[in-house]
Amino acid sequence: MGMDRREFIKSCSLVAVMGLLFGCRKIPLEELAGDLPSLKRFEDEVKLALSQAKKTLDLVKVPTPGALKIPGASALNRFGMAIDLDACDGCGKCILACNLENNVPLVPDEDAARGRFMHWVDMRGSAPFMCVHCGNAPCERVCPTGAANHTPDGLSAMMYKRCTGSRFCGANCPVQARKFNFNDAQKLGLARQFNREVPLRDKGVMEKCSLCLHRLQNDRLKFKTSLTVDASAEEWRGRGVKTACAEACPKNAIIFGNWLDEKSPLVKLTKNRELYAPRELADLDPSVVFMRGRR
Amino acid sequence: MGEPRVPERAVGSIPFDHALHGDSIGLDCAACHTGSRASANAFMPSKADCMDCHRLPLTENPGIETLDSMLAKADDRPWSHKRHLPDHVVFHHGVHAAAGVACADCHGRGYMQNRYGAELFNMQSCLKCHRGETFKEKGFKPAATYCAACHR
Amino acid sequence: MFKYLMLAGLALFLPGLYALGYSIFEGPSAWMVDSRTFWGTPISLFVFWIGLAHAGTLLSAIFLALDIKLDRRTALIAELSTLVCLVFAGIFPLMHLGVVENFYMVMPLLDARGNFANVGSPLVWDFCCIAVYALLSLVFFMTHLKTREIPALDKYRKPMAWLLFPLVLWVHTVVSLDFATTFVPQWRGAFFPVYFIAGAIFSGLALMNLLLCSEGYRVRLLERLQLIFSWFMCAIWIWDLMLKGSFCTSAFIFAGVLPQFRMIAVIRENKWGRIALSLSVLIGLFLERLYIVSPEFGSYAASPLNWIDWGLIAFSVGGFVLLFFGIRRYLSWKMEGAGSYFGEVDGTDLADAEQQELEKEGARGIEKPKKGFYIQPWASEEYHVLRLPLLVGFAFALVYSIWVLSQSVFANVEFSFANIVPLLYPVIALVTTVTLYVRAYFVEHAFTLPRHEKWASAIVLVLVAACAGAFFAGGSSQNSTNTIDSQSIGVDAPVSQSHARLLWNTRCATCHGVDGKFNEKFVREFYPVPQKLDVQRLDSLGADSLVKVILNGRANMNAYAGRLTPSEALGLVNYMQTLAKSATESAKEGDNDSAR
Repeated sequence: MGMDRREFIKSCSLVAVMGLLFGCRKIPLEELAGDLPSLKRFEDEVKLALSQAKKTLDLVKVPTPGALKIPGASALNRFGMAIDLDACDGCGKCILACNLENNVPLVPDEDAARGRFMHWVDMRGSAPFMCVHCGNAPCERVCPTGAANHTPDGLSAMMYKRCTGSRFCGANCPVQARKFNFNDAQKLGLARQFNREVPLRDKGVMEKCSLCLHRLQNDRLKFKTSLTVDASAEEWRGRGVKTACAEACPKNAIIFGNWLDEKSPLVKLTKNRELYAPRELADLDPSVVFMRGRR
Repeated sequence: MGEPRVPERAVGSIPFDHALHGDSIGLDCAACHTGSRASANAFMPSKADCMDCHRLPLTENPGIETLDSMLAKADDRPWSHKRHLPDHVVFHHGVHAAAGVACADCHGRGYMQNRYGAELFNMQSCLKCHRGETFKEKGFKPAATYCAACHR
Repeated sequence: MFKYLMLAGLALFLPGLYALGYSIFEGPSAWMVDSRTFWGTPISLFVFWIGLAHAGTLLSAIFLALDIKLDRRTALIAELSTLVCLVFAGIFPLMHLGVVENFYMVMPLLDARGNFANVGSPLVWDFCCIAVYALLSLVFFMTHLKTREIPALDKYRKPMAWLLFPLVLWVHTVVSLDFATTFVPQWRGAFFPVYFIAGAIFSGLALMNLLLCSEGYRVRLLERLQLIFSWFMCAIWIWDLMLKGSFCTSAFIFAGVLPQFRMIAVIRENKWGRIALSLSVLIGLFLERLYIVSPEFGSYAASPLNWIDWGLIAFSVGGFVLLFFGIRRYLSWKMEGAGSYFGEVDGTDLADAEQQELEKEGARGIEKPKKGFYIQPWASEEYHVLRLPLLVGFAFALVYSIWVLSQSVFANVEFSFANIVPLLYPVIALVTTVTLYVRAYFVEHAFTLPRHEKWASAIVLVLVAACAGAFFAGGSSQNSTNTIDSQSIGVDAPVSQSHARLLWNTRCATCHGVDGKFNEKFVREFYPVPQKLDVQRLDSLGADSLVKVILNGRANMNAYAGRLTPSEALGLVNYMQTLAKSATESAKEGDNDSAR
């Protein structure tokens, strides 16, 4: 049965009103979803992680890292860190600094309650622990696409756009240093790009400590731009670059540097010191080591 | 957090012809694209950069009057566009310029017809030069070919 | 019976399909219980279904290669079950990926971006092995199916069987290496390939027996093999227990203890008893796969499966039922007489069926060696058929390995020929098969295809080429969210001389020239000539006023205040002075030269 003109106009206006009403409702909801998490939430999450930290490190002695043994390794640069366990008091400022520098996302409450965070630096045995950038990395060996690879200057790099999310690397890391993006952090309002230099990661890719690759890249690019084309036998050594965690530590317990550069603070401060690494990683040529005990 | 976003503007807001600028009148690309020698981005010129020369009537070409009136009305930043490279690509113009790569090597000569050469770029063309398979006659120093050199 | 099977299949498949869709949409968080283990039900299901696929090839190809007579019907059922299992075995590794659309990056070939997959990774070996296995199984099945119409195709069955025989073992070895090459303590063990292959054959035999029950007959050989393999699995489990202390009780009960009840005649002779035995084996082996893949689970009760896990299981089981019985029904329906296309079996034991098949083949004049007569391998018929294609396959594999080793992507990786070896046999098998059939069709004209099948093959080839092209091109890159406009002012910090030089060449050289002398091309013709750089003049003006000139401008020079910082201006002034000095020096030298 057809409807007459009046009814038609009535239904049209009803539809228009409904559209306006519900259309209006959509906008505030979208704005809510797009709200960026506050800095306080990031700080609180780090505090929660610190309170829940239960794992310990089983450390064994390792020799001082030297040049990488992969083909094409640089003879000048091998970046790494040394963490002084005696100076560290477990304050967790390094974790917060890393999270803000690298735009590490928050996790939903259920995961946080179970102690599953996305933090690249974990507190284990009251020492900050992160990917040690093994010279002979088990994760890189099994990545099917080559997203996990090694740079000639010693970083175990993670290329997010090449990651297909098979999680084989995560399964193969003996100390579970890698984190998987189970959630679309941006959509859930759990991510915030504090640092524009570092991209936000998509759902479904692995991430881990990058030894602040972006800082090293920027420094290297600046160095190479300033060179004159013909001159300068000088090579880039990454001097003056500090990772976010090393910068943030109030006790200077984290020392970043170049294992192959005698002028690097890393080499100077680890000279004649005994270096340690977790037992599971000791044979894998770690670039990040621990120090303890007075000289 | 970050700089305020500049609204996208139509590139044709100020009539600009590359053929009247550049090599033909002794201008280096960097004179307007101020970042091409030292920065990651080459940047587009700001109105102040145009006014450096156009503060004076430069030729007797009648078009110059139209240009001058448009420049007077123009925004401080007349040109903007979305970055053509994806965000995960780190490309530094300054490093390439310092290594001796000429602007035309990558951008081609199409800029004379106001084409910036986007159709020439893909990861394969970058890798070919970095691996030494192209531009052999220019004798560039071996460039980095590992992923983390250009991606983050 | 068929109707009930399809209804049951549908009842499992539809909710399963929903679970699958939800999993793909949500990603791994849908089924992941624990981020320590990183893999879960989808990978357990993958290993389970791939194992089931292997038994099909065992019974058809391996029995054929070893001259163990199996009637046509059983062999074709086995081959069809392989294909259907492979469909599901292929879906699970795809859907478990975090970024499904990047799956093409696993292919070990150069792509449009100049990238190459990490050929040393077991997942890449997996991808190739399973793809080739699926293709070859399909070709084998089609060949076998068509031998009734085209008897000449029978010549190619045994050569294909000989190609498939090592391929089956290779594929499951590679699947076991997915686990055995890692650091997870529960997955260490050089016996893993044997362990996995034994489990695969065992579960596959159980599936075959189930399918034969549904067909309405039995093959006692297969039932006995099932029992023998249960003993073999128990031995391996006890070995694992002694070695690592890990033991899956539920798997042992279902697949180790219960199958022994076959020895009781009442259960054995009853169709439902046999079905129960086979089902028990399948359940037990699936639990065992769950236990292997997620060692943190401990016992099944400790970390229960959620609805997605059950949904995925239902999806695969229901899907298998639908697909297998659907295709089986279609084939027996479309071809002459229900069941006859798969071969006649009158429900008696193997020996009788075997005798019938032998007589039928004898009637068609196909030469078969007499039983018990030994032939040298290189004198056999299948070797003669395979000789040239194998040569082509080996040559291709050699060229391929050289090409892979030369890729510059592996410049920084410890990479050797040993990393490529697991890929080589599938490559050889694939190229050999293609050569074999191309030669058979185009060169020897051993068989012809009816028109509609020619069209179908052509369309399939075009689709394959399109697929390869898609793999090569890869996905498109995400567009940038950043806007580029003009350069903002820098940070007010002292600049190095090299940076000042770059600033000069950018901002000042247009008029003042790169060397401080004028930019002749521009200034004479278009712009007023600037002041000449003179050391004395610059010194007399002083750095401060020069900095002011740069920042505030002067005649014919705009202010640079919003574009250069005071430190940058100072750097430029210092650079200007060095330019002026070198200009004076070169002028002096020029004078000296001309004076001489």
